[in-house]
Amino acid sequence: MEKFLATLGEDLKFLGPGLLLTIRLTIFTFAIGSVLGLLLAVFRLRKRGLFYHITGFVIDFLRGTPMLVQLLAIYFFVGMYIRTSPLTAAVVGMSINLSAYMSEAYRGVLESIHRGQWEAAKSLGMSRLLTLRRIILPQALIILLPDLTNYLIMTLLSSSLASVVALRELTLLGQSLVARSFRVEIFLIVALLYFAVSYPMSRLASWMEKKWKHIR
Amino acid sequence: METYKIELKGIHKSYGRLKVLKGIDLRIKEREVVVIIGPSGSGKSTLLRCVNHLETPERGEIWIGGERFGQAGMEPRMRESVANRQRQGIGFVFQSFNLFPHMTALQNVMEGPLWVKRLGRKEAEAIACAQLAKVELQDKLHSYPSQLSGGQCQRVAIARSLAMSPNVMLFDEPTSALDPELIGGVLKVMKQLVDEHGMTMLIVTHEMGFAGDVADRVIMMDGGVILEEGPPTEILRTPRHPRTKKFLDQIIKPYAS
Ligand SMILES: Nc1ncnc2c1ncn2[C@@H]1O[C@H](COP(=O)(O)OP(=O)(O)OP(=O)(O)O)[C@@H](O)[C@H]1O
Ligand SMILES: [Mg+2]
Repeated sequence: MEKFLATLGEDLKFLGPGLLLTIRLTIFTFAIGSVLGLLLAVFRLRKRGLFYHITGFVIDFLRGTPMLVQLLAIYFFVGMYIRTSPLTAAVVGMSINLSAYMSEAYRGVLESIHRGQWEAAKSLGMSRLLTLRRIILPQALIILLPDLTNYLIMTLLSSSLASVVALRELTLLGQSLVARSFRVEIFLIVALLYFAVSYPMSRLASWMEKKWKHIR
Repeated sequence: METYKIELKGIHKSYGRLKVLKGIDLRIKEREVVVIIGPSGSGKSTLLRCVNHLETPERGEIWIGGERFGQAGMEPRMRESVANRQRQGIGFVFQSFNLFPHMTALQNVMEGPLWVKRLGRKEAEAIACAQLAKVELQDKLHSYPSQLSGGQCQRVAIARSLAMSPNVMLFDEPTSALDPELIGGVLKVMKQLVDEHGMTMLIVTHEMGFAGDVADRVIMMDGGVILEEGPPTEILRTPRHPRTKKFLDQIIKPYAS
C-alpha cells in the first residue's frame, strides 16, 4: 500500500496528459456528434424523399457495426488517401457514430411532442422553422437533457476505444505504463480517473431529471 | 354583390378512403356568429381546420375577407408562406388548449406578437397583459400551464389568439375538455367577444344554451354535409330534419339512448 501511494504521484503525472486528451476528445466528439445528430433528426422529420432513405440506411449501418471497427476503418482506410492524425480520425469516427445514435434519440423526442403544439404555432402564423426553434426544440431539449448527459458519459467511456488508432489518451497511456512497470493496479487508477469524471455527470443527470419533471 | 368574411365553396376532404367532407358550401358575413353542431365524426373539426388550412381540402375554395386562402397553383413553399400570413388574421382555439408548456401564461400570449408580428418586447408584453386582463387572468401572468386549471388554460389560449388581433375566430369545442364548473368562465369570455367586439366567429360546441344565446345561425352537420341550417330558435327548437331532432334529444338526455 505504501509502495502504491509512493508511486501514485508519478503515475498520475504520467497519466494526466492522457486524461486531458480523453476529455478533449469527449468534448469535440460530443459537440460535433450532438449537433450533427440534431440536424439529421430535423431533416428526417418528413418521412419521405431520397435523403430520408439514404440517411436511414447509414444510421442503421452505423448502429449495426462495432465502433471499434469503424474507427479502424476510418483511420487506416481514409488514412491511405488523406493524412489523418489519430485525434482527427478518432473525433470524426466517434462523432459520426454518436450522431447516428443521437439522431434517433432526438427523433423519438421530437415525435413525442404533441401534434397540437405544431398546430397551435401554425395557427398563430408561425413558420415551420420558427415553430421548431421557439416551440419544439426547447421542449425537446428539456426532455432530453438527462439523456444528453448520459450520451456524454457514454462518449467519455467509449473514447477509450480510440486507443486502437494510437491516440495517446488515458487508456493507451495506462496500458503502456502497465507494460513498462508490470504493475497491474495501474488499471485501477485508470478506472478511477474515468469514474471521477463520469460520476458527477451522472449525478447531474438525475438532478436535472427531477428539476424539470413538471414540464415533461 | 354582398361580400362575405368567410366563404367556403364545395369543400371536399378525405383521409385515405374515408370521405369526411362531401361538398360544404358556407358563407359567413362580417360580425356573424355561426355555431356548428352535429354527431361525433360528422366532420365538424375537419371543416374548421380546413378554414385556416391546418388541413388542405382536395377540392373547393376558401375565401377569407375577399382573399383566396392557400392560393392554388402556387409553388408549395410560396403557398405555405402566404398561408402563414393569412393565418395571422384567424384565431383558432383548440379543444385541448395546446398551450406551450415551457412558457408562462404571459410568454404564451406574447409569442405571436413578438415573433410573428415582430413587435418590440415592451409592446408585445403590453398587448399580452391587456389580453390576459380581459380574460381575467391578470394575476396568473407568470404561471405555467401545468399550474393552471383547464378553464384558466383555455382562457390563456383565447388570449393568445386574440393577441394577434385576428378578425375571425374559430373555436373547436372549447369547453368540452373542461369540468362543468369551469365551462361558464370560458363561455363568458366568448360572449364578451361577441358583444363587445362583434367578432366574426365559427364555433363548434355542444353547449346549446350558449348557442341559442350568441348564434346568429346554427348549422347541423351529419356525414360530411350540412344537413340543415337556420336561426337558433328554428334549428334548436323546431328542427325540420329527424336526425337533427334525434341528435338534440341525445344532447339533452344522454342517458335515454
Ligand atoms: N388526421 C386524420 N386521419 C385520419 N382520419 C381522420 C383524421 N382526422 C379525422 N379523421 C376522421 O374523420 C372523421 C371526421 O372527424 P372530425 O374530427 O372532423 O369529426 P367531428 O365532427 O369533429 O367529431 P367530434 O365531435 O368527435 O370531434 C372521423 O371519422 C375521424 O376519425
Ligand atoms: Mg371534433
